[in-house]
Order: sequence, then C-alpha cells, then structure tokens
Amino acid sequence: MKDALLEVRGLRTVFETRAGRVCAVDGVDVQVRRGECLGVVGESGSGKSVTFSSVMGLVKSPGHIESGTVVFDGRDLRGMTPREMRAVRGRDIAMTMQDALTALNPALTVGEQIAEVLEAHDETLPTRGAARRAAIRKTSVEMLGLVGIPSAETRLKQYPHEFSGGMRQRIMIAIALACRPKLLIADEPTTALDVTIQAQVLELISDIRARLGMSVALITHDLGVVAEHCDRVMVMYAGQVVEEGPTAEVIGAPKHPYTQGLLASIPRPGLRGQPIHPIEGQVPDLIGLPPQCRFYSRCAFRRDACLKPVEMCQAGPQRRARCILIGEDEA
Amino acid sequence: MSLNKLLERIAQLLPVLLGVSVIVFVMMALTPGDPVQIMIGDQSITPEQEAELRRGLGLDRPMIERFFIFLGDAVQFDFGESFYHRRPVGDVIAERLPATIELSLVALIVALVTAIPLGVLAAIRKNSIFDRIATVGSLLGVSLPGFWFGILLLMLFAVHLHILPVSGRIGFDAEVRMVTGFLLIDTLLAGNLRAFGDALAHLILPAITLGLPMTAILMRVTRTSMLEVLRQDYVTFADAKGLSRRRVLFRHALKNALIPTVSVAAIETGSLLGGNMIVETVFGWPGLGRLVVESIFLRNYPLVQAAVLFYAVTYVLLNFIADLLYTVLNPRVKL
Repeated sequence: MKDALLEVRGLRTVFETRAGRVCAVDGVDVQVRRGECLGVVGESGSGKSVTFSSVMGLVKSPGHIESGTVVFDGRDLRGMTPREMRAVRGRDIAMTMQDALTALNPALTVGEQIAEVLEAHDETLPTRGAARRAAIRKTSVEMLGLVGIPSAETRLKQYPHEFSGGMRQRIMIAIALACRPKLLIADEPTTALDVTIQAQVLELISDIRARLGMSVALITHDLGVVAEHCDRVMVMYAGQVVEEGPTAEVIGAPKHPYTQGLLASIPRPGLRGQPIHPIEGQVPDLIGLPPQCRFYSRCAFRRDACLKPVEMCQAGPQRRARCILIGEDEA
Repeated sequence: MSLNKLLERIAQLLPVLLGVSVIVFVMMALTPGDPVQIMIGDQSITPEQEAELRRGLGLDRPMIERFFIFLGDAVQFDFGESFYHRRPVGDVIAERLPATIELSLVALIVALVTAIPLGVLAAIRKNSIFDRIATVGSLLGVSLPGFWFGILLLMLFAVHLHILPVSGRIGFDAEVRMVTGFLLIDTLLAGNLRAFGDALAHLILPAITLGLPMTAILMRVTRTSMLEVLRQDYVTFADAKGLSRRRVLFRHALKNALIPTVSVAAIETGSLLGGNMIVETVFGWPGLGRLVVESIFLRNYPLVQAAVLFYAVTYVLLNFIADLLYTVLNPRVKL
C-alpha cells in the first residue's frame, strides 16, 4: 500500500508474569493510512493499548516485543537504536493518554511540559539564548490557543492541578501536537471526561487532524465515537484483530460474531424498552490459551471447525475478519 | 505562608514544651542519685556544710516548688546555673553547640549525597545485584548500633591503619581562633589549610557513624518513592514525548520522588540529636550530646532540663521546616 503511514505486521508482545506468559498482542497487523482516522475498538485487556505502546517502543518490563515489524513512514522502527527512537517519539508519532490528570507531571508547570517537547525536537528554533526562549514561548502559546485554552500567556505558568479535567486533556493534546506529528495515537481520550466535554475533545482532535493533515489512531471502547469520527475501524479481541474495514461497512454489517455482539450490546434510542443483548461470558484468560478461535467460548455460532487456529480472511474489497463463517458466506 | 500560620505553630509549641518540662523534671527527680553526694565525692564535710551546699543549689525545697521556680525562670529564658560549671546553663550549652551543629550538618550532607544517588540507582536497576546489596546494606545501616559501628571504624581507620585521628575535633597542636565556633569555617577564615584538613579528618568517622542510620533510611525512602514514581503515567508520557532518558529520570521522576525524601530527611535530622549523644561519647567530640550525657551522670539537673527543652524546640522546628520544604517541592500543597 502506497498511502500507508504506519504498517505493523505480525506483532507479538508478551509479558512474563509470575502466573505465566501472557501474550497480550498476538500476531497483530495494523495499517494507518496518511490523513485517516483509524478507530481501534475492544474491551479492556484486548491488547489495543499494548499494540500502540509497542509501536512507540514503550512496552515496560516485564513485557517485550517478541516478533513483528513496525514500519513508519518507510522506516523500520524496531531496528532503531533507543536514541533514534526517541527522535521519532514526540516528533513524528505522538501519544495522548487516557487520564490527563496522571499523565501530566504534577510538579512541573504546563509551560515547562510543552516547552520540553519543543526543546527536544524542534529544529527550526533559534539555537540559543533569548531568541530560542521567545520562540518556544510563542509556539507554546500558539499550541494552547490551538486547543482552545484562553489567556494562554498566564496559564503557561500554572500547574496541572490548577486546570479542569477537560482543560488538562486539551493541554495533553497540545503537548502531543506541539511538534506537528504525522501520527497521533489517542489512547481513550474521552474515557475520563464528562459526556459534554468528550464531544468537545473529539471535535478538537478531528478538527486539528483536518488542519494539520495528520493521521490519528483513536483507541476507544466506544463504538459510537468510532462511528462518528473514524474512517476505518479495527476490532480487537483477546490480543488479536478480529475484524477491520471501513467504519460504515463494519458497523452497518459486522462480519465477526464479536463485532455483532458489541453492536447488539449498545443501547439505542430507537429500541427503547427492548432488552439489550450483552455478550455472554468473559474474555478468556490470556495465559495458556488453546490454539483455537479465541471467541469460541462466547460465540453463538461455534462449531468443531473453530477448535483450530483461525486466520484473518478477506471479507470484502477492503474488509477482513477472523471467522470461519466468512468462507461459508461466499460458498 | 502567612504570619498567622507561623504564630499558630509557635502557639502549638508551648504545650509541647510544658509537657517536655514536666516529664524531664519528674524523671530527673526520680532518678536515684543525689547531685550533692556526687559533688562531695570522697571529701569529708560536715553535715552543716552539706546542708549549706544543698540550700545553695535550691535542692532543699520540695520537688513541686522546685518545678514552679524552674518554670517561672524558664519563661524568662533563665535556666539556672550548671551545678558543675557554676555558670549559666545557657552559656555552657551555647559553647558546646557549634561542635554539635557542625557534626550534624556534615552527617546530614554525607547522608543526603550518598542516600539519594544510591536510592535512585537501586530503583532504576530494581532487582539487580546492586539493588540487592543496597537493600541488605540499608537494613544493616538501620540496625547496627551506632556505638558499636563507631568503635569498629575507630579500630580500623585509627588504630590499625593510622589514617584518621581517634578523637576530638582537632589536633592539640593546632591553634585556631574561634570566630564562628565551626572549625571548618574558622580554619578557613584563618587561612590555615593544614588545620582545616585536620578538622575535616577528625570529622569523617563521627559524621559517618552519625549519618549511617539516616543514610540507610533515606536510601530506602528514595528507592521506594522512585519506584512508585517510575510507574506513574507522567513518566510514560514523558517517554512518549521523546525526551532524553536523563530528563525523564531527573526532571520528571526524581523531582517528584524527592518530595518524601526531603520531608523524611528534615524529620530524621531530629533523630541525629539522639545519635549525637552516643557518637560524641564514642569519639570524644566536645559537643552538646556528650555534655548532656556527662550532666546526666553528674545529676546536673539544670543543664539536662535546659538541653532537653532545647532538643524539643529543635525537633519541632525541624518538623516545621519539613512542612515548608514539602510545600516548596509540591506545588499542589499550600500551607
């Protein structure tokens, strides 16, 4: 694919725990195209965050990437030295975290926290002295303005605890965008926020994406958010991708029983009074998984053929899903 | 920090001091042994002379009365005369104080400059050989009795290796004019580098002995809080910003990790006061700690009472400083 900005193939990230080896990400392929917004959906523990931590090279001990390739903008990220990787992080790929309250350093002013990204990456800055400081200050004020924080000049001197939750989320986005990255990984940007603020923050991300022409990987467990903001969606379950394709198609006609289950479990205004249908059972324990379809124990359509490893298969011109039913549809 | 808060703190100090006074007074009075008998020793004096001596020291009055006399004088900052020195207690304490402060400060510095880097390193290399050695070392540091560890150091460095002096603050041959009472400063003021080196050499062993438990505690506090901080989201986020490892560790992690360390250090400095009595006795250090120990043996009531009150004030003051430092380091807290 020519227009792929990020191309991940066969990513496996494992955690060595006392209870055993947990394969949190098992053979995941991800593609993020230039300028698009990819939604990554899944329950807690499905491996969506770990997948993107792996892309950033930020998997913490006892976890490590076992295999797979990560190619970003034509460069192999896994072959990079830690130093080269640091030059990519924050400049080419930026990340925001779920909870801005814990992601911003309580002991540093907001100004310092924006300035240091610019210090680390921005090569257009004057090299030294007052001119450099003034340029950093100017960009910092601009960034806070971009994310809609009023009286940025004075706010730069304040600490994170002096801001509201929505404001902190905006600040984190401002920090992430300070160096105009090509890819923004937004890890659950709205989970910690009030509903009204959620919409504002998502609008902000969409708006900036359009203006800066960057790509966004939006990690969420909210299919409503995906429907509204994402061009394509990737559904993850128990460390694997189970379905991916254009948002409208996947939500309109989900192929994988898990995606169908997710959609059926959303309360809809049109179906008021009708019972919602949660997916029965629980996500399997990732330790010592048998080599079979991971959704087997919860699937309404399970059969003996599901007891062997199931591969992703083409389910339409731009769609893929990991289910044996797909071959049968076409037959 | 407002003036009101300061006054509030001072007001809080008063009941503490009153309580300490009562306890010390009662304990000294209940301790067996009679200062007059100790003064007389083997000399033979008549009962009249003894009674006269007792009256002179005010020991002929009942305990309750003595306590209120003491209290009445103390609020006017008059702590009486030292039985032994026959001079105002305040003067005697003031004379000995610089030696103790100098020793404590050096011990504090030794503790801080060793504990913080070791604690950070142990946290970064969690579960490494270094971390294990440091953990065992700190356990030893807290549990080794100061008098025993001090004597071991003396035997090794002074007796066997002859590289450090055995006791005192400075050699007998050194002549230094006392200005501040701090030998390290006075020798430098006099431009006498040889005496400075000598004073420093005398400080090393007592400072290490005094600072050891504090080093051990601070190292553990730093390690634990650093480990805690390294798990925080803001450290991950700092990494995600592509900052240098140094910046992430020191600017983001250590700045937060030091908040508990500094508070504990300020409070632990108070425990150096207790350590001083032992260490000064082992190393023949002419400071307040040894003076208090000697005074207890001599049943020198006024001096012990004044010294203990002084310790109490210092301790409260250090806690106050700990609170202040906490607000300086942690922008979320305001006093």
